[in-house]
Amino acid sequence: MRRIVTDNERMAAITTQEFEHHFKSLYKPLCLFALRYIDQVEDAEDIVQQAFADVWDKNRAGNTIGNLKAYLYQAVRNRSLSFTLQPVNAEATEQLPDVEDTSEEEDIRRSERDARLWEAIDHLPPERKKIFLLSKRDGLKYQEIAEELNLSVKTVENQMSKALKALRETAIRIYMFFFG
Amino acid sequence: MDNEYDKDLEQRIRFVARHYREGSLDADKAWRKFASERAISRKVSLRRYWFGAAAVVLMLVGLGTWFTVERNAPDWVAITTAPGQTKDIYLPDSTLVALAGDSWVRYDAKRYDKERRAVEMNGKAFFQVTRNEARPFSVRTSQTEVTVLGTSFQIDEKPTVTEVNVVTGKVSFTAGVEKENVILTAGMSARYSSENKEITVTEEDDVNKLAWRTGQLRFKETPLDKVIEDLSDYYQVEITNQAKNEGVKLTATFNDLPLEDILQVVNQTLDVRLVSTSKK
Repeated sequence: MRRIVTDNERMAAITTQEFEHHFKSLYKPLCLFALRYIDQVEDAEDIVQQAFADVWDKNRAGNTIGNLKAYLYQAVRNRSLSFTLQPVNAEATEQLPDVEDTSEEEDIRRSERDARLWEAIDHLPPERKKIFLLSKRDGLKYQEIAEELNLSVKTVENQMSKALKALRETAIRIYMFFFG
Repeated sequence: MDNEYDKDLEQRIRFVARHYREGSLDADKAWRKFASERAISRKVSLRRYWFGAAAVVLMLVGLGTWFTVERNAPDWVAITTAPGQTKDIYLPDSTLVALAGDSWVRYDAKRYDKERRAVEMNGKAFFQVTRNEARPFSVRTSQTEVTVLGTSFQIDEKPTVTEVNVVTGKVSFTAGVEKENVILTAGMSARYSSENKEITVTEEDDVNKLAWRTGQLRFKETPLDKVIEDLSDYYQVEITNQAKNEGVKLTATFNDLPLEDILQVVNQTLDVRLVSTSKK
C-alpha cells in the first residue's frame, strides 16, 4: 500500500530520462492490465504505447499530469474498453470481459503482481517453461505433456512443481513488499 | 485467508500463463520502438552511453592533440659540411645556399615557404635568395638574424664574430639580445661581435669574402695584413710574416692555386716571408 500512496509522481514537464524511467517500469504492468480487457498481446502493447504517446505529447505541450501512474491506468482502461467495443462481430460484443469491480489501487497492485509473474515465467529454464506453458496456457494434462515431450509423467510433475514454486516465491515476495 | 490467497494466486498464474508469449512485453524493446518513432532515441542513447561517449570524446581530444602536436612539430631538413667541403643546396623556393666547410644549415620543411622562409645556420654560407616580397627570407644564427626579400649575401659566423656581406639587394641585419638592427645594401658588410656587442658596418666591397665560392682571390692595393687574413681564411691555415715589412700592398689575382705557389709569388713580389705555420 505504501508504495501506491507515496508514489504520486508529479509530472511537471518531466525530462526524457524521467519519462523513459516511467515507461520502462510501468510498461509491463500496464500491458497486463490491458490484457484483462482484451485478448491479444499485440493489441495490449499497442494500447499501452498509445497511452504513453498521449502522455508524451501532453508533457511536451507543458501540461502537468498530477498522478502519472493513476492517469496511465485510467487511460489504458479507457482505450482497452473502447477497443473491445469496436464491434468486429456480434460474438465479440457478447463476450465482454467479466471485469471485477475492484478499486483502482487493487487494479494497479494486481497488474504489478501479474508483471512479476510474467517475468518469473521469462526466467524459467527453457524445458521447465515449455512444460509449464503446455499445462497452464494450453491446458494439457500431465500425461499429455509427457507424451508430447517424450518424458515420464514423474518428470513433468517434478518440473511443474519447481515452476510453480518459483512463481509462488515471486508472488510471496510481492505480497511481503506490499503488506510486510 | 491462505486458501483464498492460493486460489487468487492460482488464478493470476493461469491468467498470466494464458497470455504469455515468449519475448513479448519487453519494456526495453517497447521503449526503443517508442523512442525511435519520436526521434528521441539519440538523446536517450547519448545519456545511456554517456561514459562511452565521454571516452570517445576524450580519445578524439587526445588524438586531436597528438595530431596538432605532430603537425606543429618541425620537420627539420639539415645539411652539413665537413671541414674543407663545400655544398650547394637549393631550398624549396629555389633559393641557393652555398655552404662552406664545417657548417650547417637547416629549415623546417613543413613551414618553409608557407608564410615565411626561415632557415637557421652555423658556420659560413652564401645565400642567393629568390625574390618573394610576400614571404620574407630570414637566416638565424645563434646571435643574429638576417632578413631579406630577395638578394644574395653571405653570412660567416665565427665563435665571437658574425659577419654579413651583401652582394646584391638589401638586407636587414639584427644582432644580439638588444635586437640592434642595420640595413645593408649591395657591397656593404656588417660585423657583430659578441664581445663588445656592437655592429660595425663597412661600406667597402670585399670581393674575397666569396673567394671560397668563386675560387678566386683578388687583391688590389691590398695591405699585407689583409692579404694574410684572406689567405688564412681561404686555405684555412695560420699564416705569419716572418719579415719586418710594414705597409706593403699587393695587387694580384689568384685562381685557386696551391697555397705554396701563392706564398712563393707573394714573398717574391713584396719581399716578405709569409709562412704557413699550422692548420687552424
